Amino acid sequence: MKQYDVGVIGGGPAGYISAIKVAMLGGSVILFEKSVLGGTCLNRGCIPTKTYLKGAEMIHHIKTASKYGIVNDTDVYVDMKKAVANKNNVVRQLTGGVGSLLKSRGIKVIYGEAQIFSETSIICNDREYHVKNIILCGGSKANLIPIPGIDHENIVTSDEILDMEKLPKRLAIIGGGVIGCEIAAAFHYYGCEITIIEAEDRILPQMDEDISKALLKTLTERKMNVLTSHMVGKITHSSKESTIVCRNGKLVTADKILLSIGRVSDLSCLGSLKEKIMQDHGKVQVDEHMRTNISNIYAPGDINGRSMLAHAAFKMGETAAKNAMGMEASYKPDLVPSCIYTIPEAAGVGMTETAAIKKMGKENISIGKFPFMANGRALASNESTGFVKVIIDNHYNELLGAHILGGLATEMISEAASLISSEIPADEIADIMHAHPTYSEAFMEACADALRECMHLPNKSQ
Amino acid sequence: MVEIFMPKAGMDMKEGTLIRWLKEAGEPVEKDEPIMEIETDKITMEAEAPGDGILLSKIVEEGSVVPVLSVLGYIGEEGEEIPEGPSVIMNFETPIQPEAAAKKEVQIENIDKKAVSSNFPATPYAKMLATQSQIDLKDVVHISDNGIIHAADVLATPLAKRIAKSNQVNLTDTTGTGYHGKITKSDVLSLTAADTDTIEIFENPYRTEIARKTLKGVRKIVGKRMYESYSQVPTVMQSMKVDMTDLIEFRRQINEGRENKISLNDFIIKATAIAVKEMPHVRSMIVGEELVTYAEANIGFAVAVEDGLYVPVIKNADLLSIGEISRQARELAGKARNSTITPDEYSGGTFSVTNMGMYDVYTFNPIINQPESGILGITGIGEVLRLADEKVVVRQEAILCMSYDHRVMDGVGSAKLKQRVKELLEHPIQILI
Repeated sequence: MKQYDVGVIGGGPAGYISAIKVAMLGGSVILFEKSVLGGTCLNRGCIPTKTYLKGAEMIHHIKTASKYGIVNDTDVYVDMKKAVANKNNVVRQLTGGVGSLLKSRGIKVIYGEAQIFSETSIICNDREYHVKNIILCGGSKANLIPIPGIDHENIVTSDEILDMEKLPKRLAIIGGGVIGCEIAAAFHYYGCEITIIEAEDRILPQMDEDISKALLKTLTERKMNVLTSHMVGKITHSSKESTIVCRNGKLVTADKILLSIGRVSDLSCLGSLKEKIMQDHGKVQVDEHMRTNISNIYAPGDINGRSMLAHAAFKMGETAAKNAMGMEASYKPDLVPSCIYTIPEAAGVGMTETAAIKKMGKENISIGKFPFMANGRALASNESTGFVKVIIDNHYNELLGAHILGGLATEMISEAASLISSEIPADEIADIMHAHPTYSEAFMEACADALRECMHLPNKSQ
Repeated sequence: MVEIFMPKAGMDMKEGTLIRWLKEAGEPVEKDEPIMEIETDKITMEAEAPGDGILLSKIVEEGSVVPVLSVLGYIGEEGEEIPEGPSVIMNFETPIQPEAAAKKEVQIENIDKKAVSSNFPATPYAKMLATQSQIDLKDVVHISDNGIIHAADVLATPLAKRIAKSNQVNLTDTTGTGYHGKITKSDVLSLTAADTDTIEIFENPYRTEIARKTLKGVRKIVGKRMYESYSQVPTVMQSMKVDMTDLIEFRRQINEGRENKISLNDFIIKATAIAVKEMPHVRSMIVGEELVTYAEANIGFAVAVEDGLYVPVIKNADLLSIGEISRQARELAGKARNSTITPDEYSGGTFSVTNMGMYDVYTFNPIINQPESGILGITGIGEVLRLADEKVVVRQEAILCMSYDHRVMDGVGSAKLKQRVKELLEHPIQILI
């Protein structure tokens, strides 16, 4: 009877990284995948949406090209069949890539629904596999709310909407978080009339408030309808259309409704230990080593609900693998950048202003802000919307957080993340020469502004 | 171009802290002009410029702890180029002991190959590795001092350095938890938190604050060493009465007509030296997991100075005449009081004495001058009534109060030393033989 060092259930970012790391550390590993390698990120999340958003960005450029004297037919439209095919092509390349990576490390992949059978065995396709350690990477699925009318063909989640070959005329989006805003951005440019309904008082409630406000402004300017502080009461359907009835009486009619109110952990892989493995609000509880209450069972990634982001899952998977192989590793969650690929993009890392005030006190922090309106590259590129905002501590000039709205925000945030994690204070950042003209200069300038030393902004002390 | 080194101020000195630069980069400096302030485990002192020229570069930040003879900066002509990369300094004084190689070592790539003695002067990275490998730092054998030495010896993020400097905490006191043991903000904060949490001072209307000053210099170092000794050494206190009557008379006779009077303390130093020389266990001390015995009876004696304490050492005191001991003691105490004493003059001791005889101290509990095996204190002298030949006589009595390291010796070993010192002090003629 062969016993593997590690059995991994789930081939998403947490799972495939766990398996690769175990193999790199010299362990024998077997991985189980119920559908396609790559998980939500590659198949139904990050990557597919990015192909759509690239299309949307192209339309945005085509529509604004006349500003540059380019005469073209602005009556563009999207052939959804081709858009879906392109998306599938990209996804196939990447998932195929994951397969090759696993193969190159000699990792055995079994396709089928796998579950824990005992503390040292996994069952899949009616066969039992013996393992010393189990890494559960069951991932997550779209959250559904129990309201009347939710179970209808017009209501879709992010899983289905990305395979839709026919565009709805009116698309209502319940939930103005990351997924809601990204889908809104893409389908707005594809030609849908968009309405976002958000229960909180602002879209992107996890982001810095200035980001939410500024993005809301651009969405509204682009004729998207955004309803904040609106709770959905029920949904009614007729043969022609569906109507969302908000608790305050507001009605929103649409042809399709996207439900994007977050994601919940998928616990189906827990199998026979469903009762034994400790959970909290439907998420598997793990410690910083990604270990569950059963010492040889780990649960990195969306399944533990700590941070439902692929880059967090990578780190968690690596952590779990090291510990399963007898090393000592901890997952440090404090610096997870968030990126939203709207047009313009938004990104943030570290503390928001509200969090910083709460933790340090308003008098102990300073805010620096540099608008892209004052940035040469951004102006030349017609990307003057947005800003870089930094929050620093007055005592040591520690960079506490950086928040960016603008053309290349999601790329720029890595500089801030690197410097925060290396603990480089804002005055040193303001001193680092940044190439001109680049968007990135705005980050350096924002740091200088926090110190009231920005030379490309008017004197504020007058 | 001239290199500025961390001076080796004393044979024992392995590393020093660069407290502050007294010159800015770019400023002209003259040879022998004070250029920086350094701190050893015993003293803070100014160090002089090794040459004339411009202070071209400071490659070590203030607050860094560096091994002796590492390069801290350069003096040269304006525009001269500073050598790139770490400087390699050979310490030629400590040959590698072949048997040492067989012992457990904390191997650390090019960063630190420093002694990790009982005081744990280890870099944060060494500490982290030791923790990870579950090695007690005390078990680690000092490989050699001739490792590669550079400013990165203390790896810390810029923010951590800034917070440490602002809070006056020593980066080497912490264990780095960052990449490769790099000290991060949270490491420093945990250190400052521990410092400030020790004693909480409440405002109170009946207590008016009239002064507040930062602990520094000798006071700070003495405090640190006292605390370390008090908390690290299993100390036992043992006392013995000693009749000083004959010694007092003996001293009176010796001093008749002498210009520089011999003090009672000089006799105590000499008597202790003789006893220490006779008893190897007293000349022994714990170094790591080993008990090391030294040949000499080098006797340290405590000298109170305005804001602290020095323990100058009279080397080979057993071989010196009482007159010579007296001369050296007077000279060293004078130097200690006006702060001109050099590290060599207060290091190398194998045992120490402390004398409270100028006050009516009845008993006390001295703290061991680590890593020595113990310290012999003597109290004030008082008159007592005693029976001699069935008659009551008045005698002069003091008490020998000894603190000893119970890892090095037991009660008998301590008693034997005092017994011998007592014998010598009660029969002072023997001291001169």
